[in-house]
Amino acid sequence: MKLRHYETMLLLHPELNKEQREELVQKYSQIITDAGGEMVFVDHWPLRKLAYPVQKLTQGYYVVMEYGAPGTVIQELTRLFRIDEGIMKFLTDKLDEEFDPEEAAKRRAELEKKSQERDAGSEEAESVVEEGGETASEATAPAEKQEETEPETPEPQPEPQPEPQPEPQEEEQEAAADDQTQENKE
Amino acid sequence: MAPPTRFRRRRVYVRRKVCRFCADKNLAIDYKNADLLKSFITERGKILPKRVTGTCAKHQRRLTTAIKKARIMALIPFTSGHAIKD
Repeated sequence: MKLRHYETMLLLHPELNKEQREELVQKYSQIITDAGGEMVFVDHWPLRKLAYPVQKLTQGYYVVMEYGAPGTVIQELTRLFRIDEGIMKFLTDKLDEEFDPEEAAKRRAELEKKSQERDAGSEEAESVVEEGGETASEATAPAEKQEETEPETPEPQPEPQPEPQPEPQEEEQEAAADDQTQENKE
Repeated sequence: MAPPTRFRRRRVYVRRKVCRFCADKNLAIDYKNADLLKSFITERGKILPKRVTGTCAKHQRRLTTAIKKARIMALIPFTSGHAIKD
């Protein structure tokens, strides 16, 4: 059967312990492989704050599974995800129409390296969060400030050749935009 | 902005914005990368238009879907109204 390349992200209940989470993922991996699919990689993210409360909870564990599977399995998985109490949210994304096992092996190596690097970095951060939420909020505050300024000052780019005449079209547009703002003020 | 000069009618030199994803080919648009997506939404959580960020049309389309996926997965807020303040 033709395999497609999928990725599923699960949001797991924060009260599940490590074994329970791994068991849960194992269960779904089993379903995929039983149907003739192939797992590429499973990535367990550390406990993370959610952007908004889900089932009145503010934290959760994310798990990203990448696999090749025949399309019919997805329906079954989706049905089971909905039933599973440990899964608060899930999202399945089709990465590619075709699944290439060789490429998948390469990808696995790459992803493993990445997650190891991240785990090495985040272990310290995680222990800080456990000690007190205050330090965590301090860490995120500067990121928000950056968000405001970033769009207006794009990345410094290699200086383009000085154009003697700026593209006239753009100039007009900009002028039009200026006009608009002017009007708004009035 | 500086006051407009007489010669260039109300237009000050504006640096041409360049699409970040075209400039850096390694920078992938991924709904899992919440930190990156945060730089393309407003404080209220709205998606910034490409005229503000300079993103090209192709990448803006992909960015939009990535932001929407990230919202579904609670990685970034839909709006600041019910977001968890930290």
